[in-house]
Formats: sequence, structure tokens, C-alpha cells
Amino acid sequence: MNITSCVSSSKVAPAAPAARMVLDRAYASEAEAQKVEPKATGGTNMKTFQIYRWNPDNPSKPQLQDYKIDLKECGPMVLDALIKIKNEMDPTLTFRRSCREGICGSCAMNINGCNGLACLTKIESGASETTITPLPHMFVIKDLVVDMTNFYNQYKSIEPWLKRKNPPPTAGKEIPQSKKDRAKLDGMYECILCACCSTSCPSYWWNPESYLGPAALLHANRWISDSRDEYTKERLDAINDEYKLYRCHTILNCARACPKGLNPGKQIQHIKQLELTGGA
Amino acid sequence: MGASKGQKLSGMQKQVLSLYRGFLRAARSKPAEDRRQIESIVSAEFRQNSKQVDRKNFLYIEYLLRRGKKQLDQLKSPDTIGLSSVNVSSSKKQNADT
Repeated sequence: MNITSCVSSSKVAPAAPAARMVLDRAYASEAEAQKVEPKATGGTNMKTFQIYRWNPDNPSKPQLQDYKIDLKECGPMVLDALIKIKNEMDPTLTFRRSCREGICGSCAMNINGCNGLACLTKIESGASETTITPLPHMFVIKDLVVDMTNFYNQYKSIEPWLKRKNPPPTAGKEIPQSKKDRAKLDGMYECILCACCSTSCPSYWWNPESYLGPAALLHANRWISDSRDEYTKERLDAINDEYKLYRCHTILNCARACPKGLNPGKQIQHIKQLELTGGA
Repeated sequence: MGASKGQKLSGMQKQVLSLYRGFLRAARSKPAEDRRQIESIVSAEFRQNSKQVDRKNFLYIEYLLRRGKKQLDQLKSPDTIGLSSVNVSSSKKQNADT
């Protein structure tokens, strides 16, 4: 084995005789190994974050507070910046977070006007300010934490569980479902109930108590389309209401806002079609 | 900060009063001594808030109403037997030097 020490790390293997294939590796020299990468000394990249603050213990008007963060010492996502602010600058900043990988849906908030998950939204490069506010048209409990009980109650109201009238075909075993039927659920089962879609829907802003919202309707369609569920007609009748379903005017902000790339508007269209043909 | 109860009450005042009545009704369904404790805590909190909170601070009053409704729903469940409250003094905490 040929050992060549050279400074550059890219070295093409020299032409070797065909009989013996020799790999010419480039090992970094000791001098290069000792070199420490200049991190903090290389200048800073400051960005201002304007974050919505409201404290119920000192109740006054809500404010947008400025925080300056050096992006070179911070992770790429907005959640990293929030955690950095909470750790180093202001421990009273309050927000929900859990998985930091976009699967739990806790960190849903409004970043630069668009709803999304803080753990999946990259910090915009450039000097412009980033504005972080809670999900729009939701009651605020503190800072970026909003009251989700209405949203969860609407999800509960569509009865998101399997309902059957007859026992399963082979007793004690699972209810069989073909791959084609299972594929019908794709695009609906991935929903993490982050509420980004419902809180981006203007129709939901104006009627939050009566309109179910894109998330609940997406889940309603998930159970309506499930071949194992036998209460399809009852489910369709339950939401066949001027307010629960037909407040949707296909604004389609929901599809734009979904951090998982789902399309609640399409599922609501599917329900509306079923109501026309199948149900009442 | 008391509004005279004889005159016309605003919608928000009616909501506060109905929440108070809801608490007292929920307390009635509990055993006797728990009932007295609930009534004393609830009336003390409402009285204190009525004095301290500015009448025009709608944002805070609505926040308190929502919080109170949630607590009332919890209290109504038959498993809940009582309330307790902790008074946190607003004096500054001392930082422990380690």
C-alpha cells in the first residue's frame, strides 16, 4: 500500500500497471490536523427575531419583543433559535415543543406570516427580521402557547375510531383490508393534528365553533374512506350540515400551510362529492 | 372597582356572574365540608379579581373567564372532590449562589 502524505485532500490515483491495482490515498499531513477551524472569530451573522409576548400574570397589551441571535452559533431551524433565546437571553419565553423533528405537531406557530412547525421551518438567511406569532385567531394562554381545546373537541366530535356493526369476519383476528383500500387512506393518516391548516383557514377564523375546520374534516374523510368502518352513512350524515362542512369555500390555505404536505381541501372535496352521490 | 349591580350589566359582567353561579352550583353537589371550602376559595378569588383587575382590560378578563370555565368543567366531574389554591407572593425570589 502506498502511503503518500500530502496537504490537499483530493488526489487522483496515478496510473498504475494493470496487473496491480494500487490505491493511492491522500492522508492529511500533521500540520493540517493541528489547524483549528476559526469559528467564533470569523465574524457574526446577526438576525433579529420579533416574537409575540403576552403574560397573563402582568396583563397588558401584547407586544412584539426583539431578540438578536448570531446565526453562526445557532441551529438552522426556528425552534433552535427559540430554544437558544430561552436558554441564554430570556427564560420567560414560553412555547410548546417536543420532538424537534416534525412529527408531534407541538411547535406549530406563525412564522413570517405563514403557519408551520418551528422545528421544520428554516431560519431565512439575510438580514430581514423574522416575526414569530402564535397561531392566528386562537386564544392565547401565554406568549406563543394557544388554547387548543376547541380544536381537539372538534376532532373528538367526528368520532375518530373504527365503528362496526358486525363482528370481524374471522373472530379474534384482524379485519382484512386490501392494499388498494389501504392506499385510499394515504394522505390522511399522516396528519399530526398540529392545527396549522385549521388556523390558516379564513372560514375557520370567522366560525371557529361551528365550522369543523380542515383538520377535523380530513380525519372525518379518513374514517369515511376506511373500508373496515361500517358506519359510513352515519358519519356522512353527521357532518352534512351547513356549518360543519359547507363553510369550506375551497380557499385552500390549508394545503398551503400543512407542514406534512397533506391536502385537506382535496379530502373535503371528496366528502362533498360523497354527500352528493351516496349519502342524504 | 364594583359596578352597581342594580344597573344594566354588560355581556361580560353577565358571563362572570354566570360563571360564579356555575361554581356555586357545582359546589352544591359535593359533600358538605368540601362545599364550604370550594365556596370560600371561589368567592375569595372572584372578589380579589373584581378589585384588582381593571374593568376595561377585556383581554385579561376573557382569559380569566376561559380559565375559569375549564376549571369549572373539571370541578363538575364526580371524581373531583375539592379545590385548593396556592398563594405565590409577588416578592422577588432570591437567587441561590452555588
